[in-house]
Amino acid sequence: MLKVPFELKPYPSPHHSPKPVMSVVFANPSDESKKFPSICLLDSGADFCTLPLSAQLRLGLDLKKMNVAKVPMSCACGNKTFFGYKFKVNVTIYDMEGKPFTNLLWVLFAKSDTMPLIGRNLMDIFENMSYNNTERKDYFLGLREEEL
Amino acid sequence: MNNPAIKEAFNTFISKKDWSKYSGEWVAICNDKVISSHQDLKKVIKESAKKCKGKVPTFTKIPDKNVAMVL
Repeated sequence: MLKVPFELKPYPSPHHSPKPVMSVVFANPSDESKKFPSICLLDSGADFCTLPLSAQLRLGLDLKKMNVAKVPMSCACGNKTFFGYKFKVNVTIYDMEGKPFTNLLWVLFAKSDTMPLIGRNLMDIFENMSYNNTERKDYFLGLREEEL
Repeated sequence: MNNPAIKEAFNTFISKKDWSKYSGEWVAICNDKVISSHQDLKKVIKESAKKCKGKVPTFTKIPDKNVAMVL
C-alpha cells in the first residue's frame, strides 16, 4: 500500500502551532529538468495545489505569453477575488522508501505571495489520511480505487 | 527519497528549530544551508541559482511570526 509521509512542524518558532508540511517537486511536463522543489503546507480547504506566479521562473514557463487562461481565485479569509493561472504540471511526492510518485495535476499560479500549498486535488488521490498530533509524523495511505 | 537534494532540504527544514530569523521571507535551501532569503521569491530564485550550482535548491516560505495564519 502506498504510504506517503508528512510532518507537523511548529514554525516559524517552536512556540507557533504545528503545521502539516511535506516535500514536493513541481516540474514542467515538457522539460523535466525545469523544477521547483518545495516544502509545501497541506491545505485541506484549498481546491488545488497553489504556487506563487514567480515559481514559473524555475519551471521555464511564461504563462502570460503562453496565453494560459486567467482564473479567479479567493482565499478562505478574504472577501477579495484575484486572478491567477491554472496550468497542469508534474507533481512528485515520495513514499516511505523514497520512491517518487508523480501525477500530472492542475496547479494554480497565484498573482499573490502565497505559500506553496498542497490542495485537495492531490489529497483526493489517496484513500486515507492519518493525522497523529503526538507523533507529529503523519501519512497519506493507499490510492482511491479510481486512481488504481 | 530517490531525490537526495529535496530529502536533505526537508530534513534541514524539520531539524532547524527556529525559523523566526526568516519571518515573512522565502528561503532557498541547498547543501543543508539556507543560501538565499528575501521577501521577493524572484530574487531568491536568481540568487540561489548562482549559489547552488549543479544542484536544484528547495524553496519554501516562512510565515510572518507576528501574523496568525488563516488559510
